[in-house]
Amino acid sequence: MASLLLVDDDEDILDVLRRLLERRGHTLACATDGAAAVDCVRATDTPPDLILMDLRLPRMNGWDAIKAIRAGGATMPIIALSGDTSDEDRARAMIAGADLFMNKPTPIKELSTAIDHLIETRPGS
Amino acid sequence: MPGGFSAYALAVNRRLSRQPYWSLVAELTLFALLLAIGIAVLTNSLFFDEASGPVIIKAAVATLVVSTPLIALSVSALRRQILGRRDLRRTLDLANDRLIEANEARAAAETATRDKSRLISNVSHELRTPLNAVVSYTELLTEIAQDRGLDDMVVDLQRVGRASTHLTDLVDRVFDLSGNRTQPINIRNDVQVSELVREIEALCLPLMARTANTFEIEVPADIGTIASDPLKLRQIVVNLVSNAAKFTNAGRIGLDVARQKGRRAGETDDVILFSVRDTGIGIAPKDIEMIFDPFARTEEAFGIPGAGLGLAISRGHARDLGGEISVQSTKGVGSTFTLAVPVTLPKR
Repeated sequence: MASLLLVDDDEDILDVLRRLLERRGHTLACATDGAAAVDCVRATDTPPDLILMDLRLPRMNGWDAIKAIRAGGATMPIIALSGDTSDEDRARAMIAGADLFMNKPTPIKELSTAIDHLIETRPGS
Repeated sequence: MPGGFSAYALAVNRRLSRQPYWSLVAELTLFALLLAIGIAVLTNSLFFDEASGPVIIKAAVATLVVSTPLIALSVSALRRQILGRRDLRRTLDLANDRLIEANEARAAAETATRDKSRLISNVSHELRTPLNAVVSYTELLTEIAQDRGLDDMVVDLQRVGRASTHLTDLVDRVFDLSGNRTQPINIRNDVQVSELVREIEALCLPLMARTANTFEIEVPADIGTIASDPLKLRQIVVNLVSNAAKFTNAGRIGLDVARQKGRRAGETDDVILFSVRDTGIGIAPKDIEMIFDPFARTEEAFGIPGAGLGLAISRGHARDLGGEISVQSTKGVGSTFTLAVPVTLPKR
């Protein structure tokens, strides 16, 4: 049971992932672009336990958003989610500060296992 | 004498292309003069007597008579050379034009390839977004149907799920094939072949259990190391083994690894052979070359899932590593796919 921030510019994906993850007891906040995601993390006293970040986003892309979140000192696990990306894009996501890269669509079982694992093994938990 | 002239003219012609004008003219004139003087002296002593005039006049007349055809010959040779050079210049100009055209065509082809890659990348992205929604909503609906005990609906939803996952996989592979996700080759110098084979075995065993096939591996203890990209090697061999398992039911699948000595001394041009043999459905002779084409499916493969892209991608990877994949097969008996890779990557 964790609070998650889900960032994706596709309404359907936001909706379906939110419902799939809520069924597993997580609470979800959503953002539809990178800048909004950064604001979400900065503006609140209770930052999410984990962020699911799409990479191709309007306004600010996922890589820059991850960098900005890390630059703000946030240490929560970040899973970069993307579909048709090159290995270079994946590497850039990891360099920006993501903890894990997963292909879209990720079967919900795998995604859920990854979320649980990252939250359990998070430093300081 | 005419034979001698034409032989000389031939020799002159042969040297034309290499000789500057002035040296040619000088040479011809000198030759003509020497020859004329020689003949004049000869004819003087043969045909003229002492009384018919001073030797110098007779020699001059003889020189003039003999040298006229020689000069004419050298002029004609010179003319031919000038014409030859003009032809050569025309040919060069033509070749130049062709070269410019070829360069333009190549640039156009390269642009077209880039455009094609970009188009495939865009199409793949456009296809993937709604597909993601289909896959994920199907998962959600399956869970809800399970919660509500709608078992008959669960079965159908799982079918939708499988089909959409397959479609996603297809889009993925088209994307791979378009070269958009080409991984850079990452060569390691001392890849232990036996260790690589152990990894391959671990990756393939679950598949063998699922397809009820036995998996036999033969690796000589002294197989040694290879300088190559271990990830790509593993990917190719695993693809060949999973193909074998896909087309073999309750049979035997073997992976034989061998080191083939190179022609030169030393170990630098040795080749490692990974042979994957199966007792599966085999390939008809008419299909042997076709199976490496993208989206190729044989009649026998009808009903077996797959996009027909695995071998096309694997052969591309093999060639990236300086190697090749070959196949031997008997329909109904089985197939052997062999990956041959050099132990060191050839210099490009």
